[in-house]
Amino acid sequence: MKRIQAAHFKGIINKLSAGEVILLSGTIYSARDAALNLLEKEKVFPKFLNGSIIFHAGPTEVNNKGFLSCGPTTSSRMDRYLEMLFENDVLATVGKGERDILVHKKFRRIYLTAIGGCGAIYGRKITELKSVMYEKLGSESIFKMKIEHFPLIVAIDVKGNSIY
Amino acid sequence: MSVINGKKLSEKIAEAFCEINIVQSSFIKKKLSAVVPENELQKTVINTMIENGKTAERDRVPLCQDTGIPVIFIETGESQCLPKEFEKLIGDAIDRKTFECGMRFSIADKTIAKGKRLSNKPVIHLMSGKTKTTKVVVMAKGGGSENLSTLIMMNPSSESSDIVKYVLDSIARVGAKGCPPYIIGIGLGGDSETCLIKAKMALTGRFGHNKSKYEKIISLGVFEGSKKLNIGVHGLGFGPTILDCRTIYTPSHIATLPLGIVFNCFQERVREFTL
Repeated sequence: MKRIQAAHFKGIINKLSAGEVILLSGTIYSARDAALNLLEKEKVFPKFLNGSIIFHAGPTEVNNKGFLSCGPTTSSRMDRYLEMLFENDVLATVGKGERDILVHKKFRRIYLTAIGGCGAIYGRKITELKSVMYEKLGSESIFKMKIEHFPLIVAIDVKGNSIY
Repeated sequence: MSVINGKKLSEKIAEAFCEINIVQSSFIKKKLSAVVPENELQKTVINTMIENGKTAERDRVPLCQDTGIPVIFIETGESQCLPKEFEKLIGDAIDRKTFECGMRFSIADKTIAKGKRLSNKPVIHLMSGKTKTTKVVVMAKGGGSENLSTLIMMNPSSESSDIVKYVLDSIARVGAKGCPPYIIGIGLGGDSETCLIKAKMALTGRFGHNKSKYEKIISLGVFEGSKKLNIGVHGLGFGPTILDCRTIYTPSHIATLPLGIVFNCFQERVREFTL
């Protein structure tokens, strides 16, 4: 199982193959339906997302023990924003379920799947979480998150090979 | 005629909604532990799913970040009625519990630009029961699997094999989008909206599904046929594609045969209580 730092992701992007399990650590950003819709409408792509990995997710509230749940949501709903993300140098997305293969092949980008319905596990591996854009969207705002050893599957690689 | 205590009803519903989001059902635990992985990838996936259930219970944190839309069926007992503004009482109790339990506000009101846009406003179905007590069924229904819901008006001369085929084709079409292995709820007959409500009732497993021979044939046909679909756990082609299929049939107009199909993800979250 490869251990990968988000900051070094660009350097190993061509070495990842569909079906591999990786453990991802470092800083990533969440963005899902509402935030991506606003990014598209406003036509100004924030610089901090260039070269980043985007997690399609919306966390829960923090419980009275200080824990939260934050797993992946269905990626295919957000396929319409993929070109916008890749044109702005987003390196990979993290979600669940099938998604557009051809766009990944065209831009030589990666699609990673987190295991759906496992928000408790992924939540435990988020060590820092801060809303950094569109705060009014609540759980759908863009969060900057520090993660440690996220178990992820390379679902689509840069050649367009897919596990689905 | 007695009025049900609104505070007690709403707090019990909110408590149930919290608990089903945190404690994995024993049916699901049993089904997941029965899956035999054959390689490292499959092992990682199934172990994460099992470990997730344990983590959620230990940390009192939701199993999934999508804590669902609260779907509530209330079957009022003989000579019992609901208090005024019971929908608001229930909604407010769930919203309070959302903070306490660390759940998510998943219901967005697009008509509100500022202020309380997000809540956990429930969907409530009222029915009259046949017993002296009031039966309440609470389900947390995730959005990913809800998006897979289907309504089709079948031909009234359709055979049960045609129904089974349509359901299997529908499962094949949605693939891994809603966190398989799935539980399938089928509402057959009634009219266009009734079949979907019956499908949702069947999905809860608390309203007498698969009782008649006809219902059994359809559910069994879907269950057996799903073994050839090659979707499996997380869409990776191993383990079961569906964990259960539950059908409720209602007689319908001679010109119609409505078929409602609803999906639950593998995190089945349902609880029942009586008042």
